Amino acid sequence: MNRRSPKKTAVLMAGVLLLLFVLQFILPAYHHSTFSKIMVLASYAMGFNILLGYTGLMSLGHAMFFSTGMYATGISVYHFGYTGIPALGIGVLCTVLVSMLLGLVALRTSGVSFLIVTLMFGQAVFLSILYFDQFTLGQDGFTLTKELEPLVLGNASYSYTDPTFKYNAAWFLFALSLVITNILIISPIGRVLIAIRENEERTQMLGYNTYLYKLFAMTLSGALSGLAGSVHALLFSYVGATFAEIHHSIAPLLWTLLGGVGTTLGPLLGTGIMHYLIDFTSGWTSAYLLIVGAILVLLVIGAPQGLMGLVRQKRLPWLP
Amino acid sequence: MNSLLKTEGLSKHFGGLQAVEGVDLDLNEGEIRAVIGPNGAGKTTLVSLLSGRLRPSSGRIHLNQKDITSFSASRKVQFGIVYTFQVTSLFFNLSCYENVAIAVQGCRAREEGFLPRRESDIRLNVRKVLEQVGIQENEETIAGNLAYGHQRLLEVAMGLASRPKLLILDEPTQGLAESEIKHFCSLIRGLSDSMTILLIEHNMQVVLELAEQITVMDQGRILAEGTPSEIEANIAVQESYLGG
Repeated sequence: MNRRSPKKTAVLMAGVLLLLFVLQFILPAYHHSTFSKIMVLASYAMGFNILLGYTGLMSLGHAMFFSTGMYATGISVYHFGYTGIPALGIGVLCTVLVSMLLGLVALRTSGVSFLIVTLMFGQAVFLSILYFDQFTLGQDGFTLTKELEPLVLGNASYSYTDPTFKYNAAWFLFALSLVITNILIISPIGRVLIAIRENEERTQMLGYNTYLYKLFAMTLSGALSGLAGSVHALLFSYVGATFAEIHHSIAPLLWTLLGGVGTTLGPLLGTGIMHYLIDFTSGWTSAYLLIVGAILVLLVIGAPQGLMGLVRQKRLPWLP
Repeated sequence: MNSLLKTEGLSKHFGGLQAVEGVDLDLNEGEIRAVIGPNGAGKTTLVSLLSGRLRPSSGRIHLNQKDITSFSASRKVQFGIVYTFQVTSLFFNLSCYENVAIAVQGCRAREEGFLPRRESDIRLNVRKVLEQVGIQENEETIAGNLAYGHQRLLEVAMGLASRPKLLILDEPTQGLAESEIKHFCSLIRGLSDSMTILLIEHNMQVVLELAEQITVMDQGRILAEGTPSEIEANIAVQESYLGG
């Protein structure tokens, strides 16, 4: 984060988006659908990265935002018969509320206490999902395949389960998250968030009310994570409690660490690599997590700043 | 001269320890005031109360007749009280430019009511301040890689970029070389036209050279106050501080 370069950044981001868009015409069916999934999950990780990478706050409860979006959208469709777009809006609205409320409470703590508070609230949301099983159908969750009406745009109608629609919707979500994140980082607000990450006390002594900035970061981070959850529910037609579990809070942390904390492209790279790593190794041995773990340990020793962080350090100091 | 900052009976207790006890301080606009005293006299605690890093146990603080006692540190900065840290506190992983830009941006936001959007405005101000303290050639250097003397100057630059009414310097020359101290003194003297400066300093040469008024503290209280020559003549001070 030394020298900002909005022009180079814009070119690079446009290039990445273009590449991802073109890939859909090249990729074989299996990888085509894998990429749709990766782009949605990468958007989730990008939401997480706003808080960890650019504000310096590590949350262990982000699954609560993802699942809030997912369940709010899913329940709107399943129980109340909403179509996709209004359900998506409800999902985002609910996550904004949840993340802001959580921020009001959790941001009174910092460091390890913040970690614990977010973890506890994350678990509370998970247990609530199990408890209110007349709406959530408990651990099993529910599918939206029958209830979800196709998306109508003008004269055309698109089914959410159509692979081409899925890929492009995921791409659109990813592009939106990427643009929002990059604009945030280049903006004056992003500068303050980075200042808070680097030295919060000094930031206060320069006259900034750091609490308000952290609350903003928390809300935006939650909203992006929740949006990813909503889109996930619509595109993959499944809403389940496994997405609220603790391991789904740790997942974006691992993806972000692998790809590069505090880089805008890190979450995509990390999510993609992790997905394929698990894919390959699990086809080869049942002890695949052991191999994935060993690779992660090596990476943390060799490049603690993550892959994109390494690129920034060695080659491209302007990388956002 | 107009009074800028006034404290009444300002006290801070840490458990049984009375770090600052009943301090009445009156700073005029545009003056350079030095606070001296032995270690543990309560100097840093006093300025921490003024800058809002600590809340007083009792007493009031007024800035331009306005009671600002209960304001948070960031609010006090917004009202013009800017503190530079005794232990250098920078954004060590960011460039000098960014360090000052964060301060400039905060100041612009206060004056105009919203965060500035044009980087060119910020750049202009950052360069001006870096030039003022004399580290403009280090603009792109990461703050953590600067020489210690330059880090101290960067700290001051961040203070200046906040456009203070009252600039509090907590032992600014500690650890600086002789030549750096000279540069520093002329820098501070140049600032006193546009702001009030409160200086905590152990180096008596610096104090005598810069200060118009000196406040001597001991065990949390004000022991004596006066011009440098008055203080030098004050025997009570000599006993407690200059060692007789």
